[in-house]
Amino acid sequence: MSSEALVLGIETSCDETGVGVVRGSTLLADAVASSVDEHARFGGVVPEVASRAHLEAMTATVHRALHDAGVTLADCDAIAVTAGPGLVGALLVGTATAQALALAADKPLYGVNHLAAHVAVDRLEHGPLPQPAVALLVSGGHSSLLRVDDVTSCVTPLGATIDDAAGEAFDKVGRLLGLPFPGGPHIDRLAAGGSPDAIEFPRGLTGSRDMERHRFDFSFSGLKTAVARHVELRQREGEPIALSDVAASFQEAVVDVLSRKAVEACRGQGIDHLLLGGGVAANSRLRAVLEERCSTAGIALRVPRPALCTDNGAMVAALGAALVEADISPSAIGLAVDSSLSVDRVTVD
Amino acid sequence: MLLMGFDTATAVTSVGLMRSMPDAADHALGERCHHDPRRHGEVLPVFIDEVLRAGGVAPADLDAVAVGIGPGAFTGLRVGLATAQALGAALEIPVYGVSTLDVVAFATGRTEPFAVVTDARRREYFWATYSRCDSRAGEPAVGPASVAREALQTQTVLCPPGTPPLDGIDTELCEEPSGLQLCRLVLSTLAAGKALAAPVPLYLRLPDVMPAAPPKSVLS
Repeated sequence: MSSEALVLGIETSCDETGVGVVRGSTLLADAVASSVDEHARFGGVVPEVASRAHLEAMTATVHRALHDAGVTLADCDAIAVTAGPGLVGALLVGTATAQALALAADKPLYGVNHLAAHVAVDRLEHGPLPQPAVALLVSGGHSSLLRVDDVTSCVTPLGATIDDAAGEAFDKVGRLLGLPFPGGPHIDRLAAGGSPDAIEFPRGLTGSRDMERHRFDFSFSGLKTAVARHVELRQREGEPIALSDVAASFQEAVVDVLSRKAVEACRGQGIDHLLLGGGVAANSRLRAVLEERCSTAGIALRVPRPALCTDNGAMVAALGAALVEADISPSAIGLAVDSSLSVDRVTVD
Repeated sequence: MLLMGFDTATAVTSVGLMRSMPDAADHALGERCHHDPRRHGEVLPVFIDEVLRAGGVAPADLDAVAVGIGPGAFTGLRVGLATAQALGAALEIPVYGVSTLDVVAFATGRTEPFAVVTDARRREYFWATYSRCDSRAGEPAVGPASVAREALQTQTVLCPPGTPPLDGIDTELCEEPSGLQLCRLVLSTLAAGKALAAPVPLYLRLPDVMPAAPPKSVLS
């Protein structure tokens, strides 16, 4: 087993072109080019637009990461790249780049799971991961509860959304309220001036029957529809809409379910560490409520800083470094991307 | 000069390796081709590795990389371009771009005018016209069969295998894009002192997307 592996990580599963460099648990560079502005007028990420932007940004982003880290490709011990889950066309720009770099520099290549990388990134912020831990990953594409016994080899899904991802719900409600894409930060800001108890929005999959079949699953589609009904009914009656109250009450419904189920997952698994990751982890109310509920339940909560919670290459490099240190076999040079890669597969063959 | 050339703009992934010498004929060191419209990403790096090994050379021995820039299916096209750009960056060597239609045209060796037509999917075609095999007469175009017919009715039309039939036009079969032919075209262009394209994709089409419609009503 080697220690302090120097790894270049590439992430292109959605709309961020991320290239990071990590030495062991130390972050050396985190270069990100985002195409988010190009998607704004479409109200969501357009796969072809994202894929084109990845190709345009990739070479410069690799150069920037290596330059920021003060290392060369030849110095690296391995290259890691997101192989899934994500948008196929977007993933392929990252994997083709990583495969070529690995060939050119004769380095081992790891095709890794995007969700495991979101967990592993906390090594860079708070040191070695507590294992086992429960991880709550919430973003525009994912809402998952995971049991992490070993981030390099043993990640078990406990639950996930059965319809919209949490971040997707924020985007869709943002549109309903006339806010720009992506909706999350705008709703967070608007909600700060409203009452979270003003409107009783539904908490998906929390009824007793749902809790039998979907104990750790999420559903945000009904919530989105409830917000749309609330807004439309008032529009039809010509009544004013208290936007900040709608935002705060919607956000509270999301945060309440996420935090309640995350704490219950810890209790149910007998685990006293919770990791939070994904773009929605930047939500101030989610952080506050999780901190409060974890503290009450005696659970240690770890949340990386927002730049490491959103998609980035450093998280892929962090997982890559953990894989090298754990002596996990690299992937084949002809590795395949998998848009729906199962979370229990940390690496691809 | 040791040159690697590959193309992933069509259903074929093809990689060729060629050595040119100042006072001798160009020497082909190897080629790999595989037909699968959905697996460029898995096949290309393996072929690059195999072709280099079979030629007894290392990646660091390469003097340049050349890549087909399309037009072609976007996802496969980007696999070739991302690969070429990364190889160029890592090895600090030039990366040349060549139109995939030009590669197909070059391989015909024809000295009379003709056109090359390939499948653009969605019941459309990509095409370009040539005065001879190494001289394109206009910019590559994309359009439905009716527009292609209009543009090409007086031409000899060549199509690689798998191109959907262009009703009303007699077409002849030609070779699929080949990595070695791509290398030959690049070497001959360089030898003639002519410029090559940058390694950026020739999409010819905007992303197929509409601005967001207003949210649908949930009432009634």
